[in-house]
Amino acid sequence: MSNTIDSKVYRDKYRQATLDSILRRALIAESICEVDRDSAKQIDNPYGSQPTTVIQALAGTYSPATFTTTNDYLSVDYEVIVSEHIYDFENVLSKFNLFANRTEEEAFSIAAKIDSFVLNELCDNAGESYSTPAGGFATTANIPVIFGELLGKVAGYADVYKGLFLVLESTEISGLVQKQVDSGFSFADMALKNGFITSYMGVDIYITRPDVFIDGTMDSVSALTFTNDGHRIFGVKKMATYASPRGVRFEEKSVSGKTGKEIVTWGYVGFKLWTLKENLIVDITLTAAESA
Amino acid sequence: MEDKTKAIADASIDGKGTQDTENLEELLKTSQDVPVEPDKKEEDKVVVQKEVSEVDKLKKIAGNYKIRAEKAEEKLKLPKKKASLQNLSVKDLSALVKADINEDDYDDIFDYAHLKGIPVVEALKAPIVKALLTEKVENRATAEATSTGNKIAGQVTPSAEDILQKAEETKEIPDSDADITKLVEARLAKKQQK
Repeated sequence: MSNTIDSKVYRDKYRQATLDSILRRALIAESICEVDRDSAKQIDNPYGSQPTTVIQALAGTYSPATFTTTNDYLSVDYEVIVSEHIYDFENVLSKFNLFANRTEEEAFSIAAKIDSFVLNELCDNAGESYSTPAGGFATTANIPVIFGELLGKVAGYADVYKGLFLVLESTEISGLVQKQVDSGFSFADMALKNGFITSYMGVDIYITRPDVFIDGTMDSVSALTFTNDGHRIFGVKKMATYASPRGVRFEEKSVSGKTGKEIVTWGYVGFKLWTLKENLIVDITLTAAESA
Repeated sequence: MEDKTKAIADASIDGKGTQDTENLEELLKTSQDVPVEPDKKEEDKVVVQKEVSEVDKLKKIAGNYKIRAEKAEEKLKLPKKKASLQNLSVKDLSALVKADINEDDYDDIFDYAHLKGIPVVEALKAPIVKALLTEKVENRATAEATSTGNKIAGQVTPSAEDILQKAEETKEIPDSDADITKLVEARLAKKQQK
């Protein structure tokens, strides 16, 4: 059999390459979190209590504090799955573009779900909070104020060298773009020439599709209930870990009682914002514009 | 001469030394002035002996030269081994490497070295070899630039667009993982452009 998509071996090869490529390119989680893809389903990260030094008048007495350790750990408790039954499989395989498009759609769907899970978890566990001036990111005049205040939240921490991020939904981009084309000569020229610039005041900006930050329960998993609608996140990169043991995989199989093929793509996922680093992530609450 | 010296010696023994000092000095003077004549026979003998020894020396030298010449002739008569990569000395090898000689030109150098009976290191220094090598280098550069001669064309690496086009037309997926990634990236890039 030739090396075309008619052969399962080559279909699998193409699917894996598409998954890897799309997850690498499209996942915001990959850029702002540590990613762990080994086989471990639990990552332990215990930490000890902080010692406190006191200064006192000469007395020679002291009260010893009890040293305690807390086992901070990431547990892989969830899986993301997308599955489809393609009954007219031969027809789908008759054209490369049709097959490739189906594969890409599945990969993007997986990527979007992973991002939604990670971003909501990150927002939910953030140790710092901040409310924007009225109008939020949509008001051009607010941009320098918000960025200045957010930078102030994490300034001075050693981990800042790892880079800063801000995740917004696509609806807020207008105020930011207007500010970019209005910010100094060379920056404005760059923005006018190239469009939206994904880095502003030293902060890398990531844009998600609308409704990523949600109020409610994610796909009926009660443990994944969030109140993040109207919230965004800012912070230092690599403070949280996103684990996906052995990565995202797929299976193509024949189905009993049905013609065609069933394709399932799945991956195990776990997330943890490490307790000691919680203060380096800021939960931003968007304040609505004042009505006139 | 011996008699005069004897007289001087006798005079000093007689005790008339001090008075006869002047006579003695005169005698000495006269003894120095008179040329001493060697015994002709003995002289001839010595000369003959010298000549004989010189002839012997020359004979010996001539003998040595003969032996050397014979040895040299024998060496020339022996068929000399042609240099090849297998029997090159370290010196020759390092000279070839240092001179950055193309492997295709080795045989020309070995031929010249064999013909002249000189080592490869010396052959490399010969002006005729230098000229030949320069010409060959130029020929090679020209051939490479114009792609002439019997050169076999190398395999062309297909571009991402070529791979994508082929996949769309024939459903063909490349064999290598790198090319499959190229194909996926090309499709995603094409999607973004739309």
